[in-house]
Amino acid sequence: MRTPLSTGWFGPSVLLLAMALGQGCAILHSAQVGDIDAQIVMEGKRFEIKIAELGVDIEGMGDLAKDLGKSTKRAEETNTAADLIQMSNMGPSTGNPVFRVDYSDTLIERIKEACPSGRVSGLISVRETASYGLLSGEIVKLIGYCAEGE
Amino acid sequence: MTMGRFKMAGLALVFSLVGCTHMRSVSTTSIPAQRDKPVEAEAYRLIFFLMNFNNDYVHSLPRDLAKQCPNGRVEGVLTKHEDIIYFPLIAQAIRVTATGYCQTGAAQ
Repeated sequence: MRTPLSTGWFGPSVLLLAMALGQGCAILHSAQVGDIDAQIVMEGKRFEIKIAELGVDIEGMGDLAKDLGKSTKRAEETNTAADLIQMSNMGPSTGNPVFRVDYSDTLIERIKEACPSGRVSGLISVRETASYGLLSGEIVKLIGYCAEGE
Repeated sequence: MTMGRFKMAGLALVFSLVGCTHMRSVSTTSIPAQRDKPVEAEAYRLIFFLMNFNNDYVHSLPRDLAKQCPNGRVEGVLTKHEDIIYFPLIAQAIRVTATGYCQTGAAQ
């Protein structure tokens, strides 16, 4: 007699997988609303600017390097390297470290492109991380309203 | 009550009491002299099992404030971003609150 296939593992596994995949998929670090001209916000053209840079989870990479070091019997070297990398990235931060610190400096130019008239209002600036495990997208997003014409 | 049950009850109590609020960020714009018409908008998202796929719910804040101040300006906008933990790892929420002062007509 055949025993029925056990499905008890399915629920917890799916839940764990969903948690692993979804863990902090979109992490909000800060949101800031600027002054609002109601007429521009209600009647103007909405624009959205998004700038992203690749972020790396240094701590996670360090742990991975340590694990790899154990398996290749070079634990000491990899531990030192991982600790050095982690120590060189200390201090307050939002999200993961990126390779370019000036990636958001073009925001002003992008606003000028999005709203040539310069009459911008209702700006909301959002800093968020799109997390994909050890890698992430470090995002700066700006949403605003533009009054077209002079 | 057996020791085991006592420990479980203690653990449940600890977990139920850890529900707390964390301030993530706060910012403000210049505060106007006239502050007699306050307006407020809130963006809120309840998150289960740490799963949150976008933060688009905050985008509506400027429009929500503008609707409360037709033909005027909202100034002195204080934006507050909080994390609320109802039950660790299971249920938490993100709340972004924007408050400001409506300036209309001669008050501008």
